[in-house]
Amino acid sequence: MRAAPSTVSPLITVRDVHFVYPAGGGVGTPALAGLDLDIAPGECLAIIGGNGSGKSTLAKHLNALLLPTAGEVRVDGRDPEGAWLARQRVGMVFEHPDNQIVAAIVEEDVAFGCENLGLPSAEIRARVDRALRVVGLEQLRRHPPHQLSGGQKQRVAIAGVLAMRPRCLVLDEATSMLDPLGQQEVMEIAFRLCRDESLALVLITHAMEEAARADRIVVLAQGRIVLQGSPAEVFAREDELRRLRLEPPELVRLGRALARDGVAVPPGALTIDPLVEALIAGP
Amino acid sequence: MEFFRGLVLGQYVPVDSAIHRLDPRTKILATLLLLTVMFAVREFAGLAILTVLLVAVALAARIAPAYLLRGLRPLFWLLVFAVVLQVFFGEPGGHPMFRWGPVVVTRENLAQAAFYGWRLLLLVLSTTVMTLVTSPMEFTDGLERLLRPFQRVGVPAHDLAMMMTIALRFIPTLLEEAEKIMKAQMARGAEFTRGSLPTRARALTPLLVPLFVGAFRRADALAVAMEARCYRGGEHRTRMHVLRFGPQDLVAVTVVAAAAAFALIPPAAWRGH
Ligand SMILES: Nc1ncnc2c1ncn2[C@@H]1O[C@H](COP(=O)(O)OP(=O)(O)OP(=O)(O)O)[C@@H](O)[C@H]1O
Ligand SMILES: [Mg+2]
Repeated sequence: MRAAPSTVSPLITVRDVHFVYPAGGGVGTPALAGLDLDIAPGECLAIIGGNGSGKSTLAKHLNALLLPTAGEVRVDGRDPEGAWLARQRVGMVFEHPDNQIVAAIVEEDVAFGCENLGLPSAEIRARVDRALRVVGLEQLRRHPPHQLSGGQKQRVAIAGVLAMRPRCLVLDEATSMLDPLGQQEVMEIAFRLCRDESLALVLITHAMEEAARADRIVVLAQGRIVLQGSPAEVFAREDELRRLRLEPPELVRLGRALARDGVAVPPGALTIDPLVEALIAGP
Repeated sequence: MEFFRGLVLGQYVPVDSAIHRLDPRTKILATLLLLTVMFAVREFAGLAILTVLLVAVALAARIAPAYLLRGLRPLFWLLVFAVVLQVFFGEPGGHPMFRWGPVVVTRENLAQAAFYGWRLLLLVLSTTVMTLVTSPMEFTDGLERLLRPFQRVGVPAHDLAMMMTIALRFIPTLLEEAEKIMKAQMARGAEFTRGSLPTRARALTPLLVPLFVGAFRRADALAVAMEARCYRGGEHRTRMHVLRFGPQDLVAVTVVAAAAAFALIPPAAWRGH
C-alpha cells in the first residue's frame, strides 16, 4: 500500500473485527466478518461498497461508537477501552446535516465537543475561532443553524470536530444530501485538511469521483474487504466492481472506451487532462 | 407557523443595552422577585412603584412600546373579564356608586377591580420585558447555573438545560418539516382547515404520524452524533461562555430589591414618618 509505508506506525489498526448487530431473538447476520485494516497518519482513504456492505458499521468502530463482537480496534496504539480517547482522536461527520448539530447557534455547536472534553473557556474560544476560520464560516458564527445551507451545516459539523484536534476525520456519506455546490465545498475543505494539517481522512462514499481523489480505496462487501489499492488499480477491475454493484467513475469508463477505439490513453488515468492530451495526440 | 415560532422561541430582540448585557441569572432572579412582590403587594402605592421600575427598565433596554403592547394583546380579554367580574360580582356592602337593576357597583369593588387589573398587567409586563431582553440560550444557561446547587437533591439541572437547548435547536427544523408534510398531504387532497372539529382533528393524523416518526429518527441520529463528540452528560463538562456576575449585576439586583422593599411598605408607615 503506497500510502501506508511500513516505517510509520498506523494511526488506527483494525484486526480481524467481527460485528453482529444485536437482533431481537435470534442471531443476526454479521455486519462485519473478519475485517483487517490499517489507517496511516495523514493518509486519505476512501471506503466504497454497496448498500449494507458494512461501511457505516466499520466507521462506528473507528471511534468506539460500536465495539467489536470479536477482534480488536486500536487508535494510536492504545485499545480505546473507555472510548474516550478514540472519540477525541477520530472525529465523525454523518450523512444528515440536520441531525448532528446540537446547539441553536453556530459557534455554540462548534464548541460542544470541546466543552465535553472539559477544556478551559479561553482555550475553547481560541479553538472555536480557529475552526470556524478553517471552514470559512466566521461570518455566520452567531447564526442559527437552521438558516444555513446543507453544505454550510456540514462545514459546521467539520468545524466542531476540528476544534477537538482529532488525528482522523471520518466522513460517512457526508455529501450525499448536498447539492453539487455543497458537495464541492465540503470535499475541498476535507482534502485541504488532509493535505495541509496532515489529518487522516476516511471517506465513505457512493460518489466514485470523490473516491478517485483518495490515496487508497478499500472496497467492502458483506462485511469484508474484497478489493483494495490505489484508485487506478481498483477502478481497473471493472468486472469485479460491477459484480459488487459498483461502477468506476465516468472519466475512467470514458478513458477505457477511448482506449478500445485505439486512442493511446495512459493506464490509470483518473482526471480529464491525460484524456485530453491523448485525444490531441491522436490514435 | 410564524405564530408558533414566536410563541415558543419568545420574542427576544437583540439590542445592545445595559439591561441586555446583564447576567441572565440576574434577570431571572429579578423577575422572580418582582413576581413574588406583585402577589404580596396590598396597596396601589406598591403597584405604582413597581410600574415605575418596569417602565424605567423598558426604557433603559430601549424596548419599543409596540413590542410591549404586542406581548399584552393575548391577555386583553382576560383582563376585561377579570375587571368586569370584580366590579359586578365583588364583595357585597360598601359605598354604592350607581346601581343598574339588581347590580350594584360600589366604590370598594371598583377599586378592587382596578387593583387586580393593574396587577395582572404588571405580571404579564414583567415577564414580557424579561423575554424581550434575554435570549432563550442565555435563559437556558442562567437556569442551569441557578439550578446547579439543587443537583445534589436530585434536580437534573444539566439534563433540563440540554433538553431546552436541543428543543430550541430543533423547533424551527420540525416546524419546517411539518410545513413540508402538510403541503405534501394537501397536494394529495388532504384538508387541514375545513370541516368540523373532529374532522379536522382526524385530518391531523397523517401530519402527526410522519412528524413523530421523523422526530424519533432524528433523536436517534443526534444521540449518536453527540456521543461521537464525547458527550457523557454534565459531569466534567465546561462551557465556552462563562457567566459573570459583575458590578452592573450587583447594581441591578440592589435596585430591584430596594424597589421591592419600598413596594411592600404600607403607605401608613410612610405617613408615620
Ligand atoms: N442499527 C442496526 N441494527 C441492525 N442491523 C443493522 C443496523 N445498522 C445496520 N445494520 C445492518 O448491518 C449491515 C451493514 O450496514 P451498514 O449500515 O454498515 O452498511 P453501509 O455500507 O453503511 O450501507 P449504506 O451504503 O446503505 O449506508 C446491513 O445488513 C444492515 O442491514
Ligand atoms: Mg452507511
